Amino acid sequence: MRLGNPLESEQAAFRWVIAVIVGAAFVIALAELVSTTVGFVAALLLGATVAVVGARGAWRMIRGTDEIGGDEANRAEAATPDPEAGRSPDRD
Amino acid sequence: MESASIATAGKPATADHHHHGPPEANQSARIDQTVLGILLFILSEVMLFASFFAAYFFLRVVVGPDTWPPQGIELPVLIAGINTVVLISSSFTVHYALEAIRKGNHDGLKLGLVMTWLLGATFLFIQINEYIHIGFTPRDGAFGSIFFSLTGLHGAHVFVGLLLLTFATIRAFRGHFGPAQKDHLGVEVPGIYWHFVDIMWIVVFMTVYIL
Repeated sequence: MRLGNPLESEQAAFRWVIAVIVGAAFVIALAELVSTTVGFVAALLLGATVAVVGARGAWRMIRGTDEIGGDEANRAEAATPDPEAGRSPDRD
Repeated sequence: MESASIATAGKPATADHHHHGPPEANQSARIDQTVLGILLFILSEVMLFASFFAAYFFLRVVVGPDTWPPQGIELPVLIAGINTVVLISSSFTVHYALEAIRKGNHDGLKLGLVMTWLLGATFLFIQINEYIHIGFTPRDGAFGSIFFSLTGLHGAHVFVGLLLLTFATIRAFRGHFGPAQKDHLGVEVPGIYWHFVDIMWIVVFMTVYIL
């Protein structure tokens, strides 16, 4: 199941809720059946996994898409000023 | 089912659209402004909660595992567990509300929002009742302080979520929303916030009551 970006749609956010519920159930089961320390370690590992996934997703989002102008061609084009931009129509 | 994206809601799909020059004023060239706003808000809230969790774990390590929680204090895990089920259920009802409006089902939207609001209010009522009967106060040592701080911070977020849901519910009963995503952002964004509140409670419950 692809989780998706939880900030872009409620459906993706709901998938993240389900994923967290499953993860929490796993941690609670370990803590109750094995030991609190094992549950704590499992929680840390799951938390680190979520942090890495979230950071990679955020980096992809910040880098943008072709439509928003995140690739090299548009970046170069955006850096080159348009000679016609801002020219008053009455100037000439 | 494909999930529509807030970033593209309301934007016309033009295959020939080609942007020249720098981005429009007050907009980033790399990220949609709506998504950026939600991202910054959620990130700031995550950092706020992270600071409270850092304080919790610091105090727990400093005070020592043998006296955490202190002698004589027993946390009502069953009551908190019931509250967790209540809040998780509210995530399902808000998801139902949004699935309903995506299919144009206005009655389902109203029912889902009302159920979500009632479950959220039930969660707050149970938590306040727990505070009254728990047997210690925020002034009773480090444990009391951090317990009430962490759960109280979350309760405040639930209260804000209820305010958002109130506005969304009133607008739903006035017929303001439609099936297109751009026509129900007023429900979608509170829905995302509500799921965030639910996730934070699961983490709080696991950390404070279980581990």
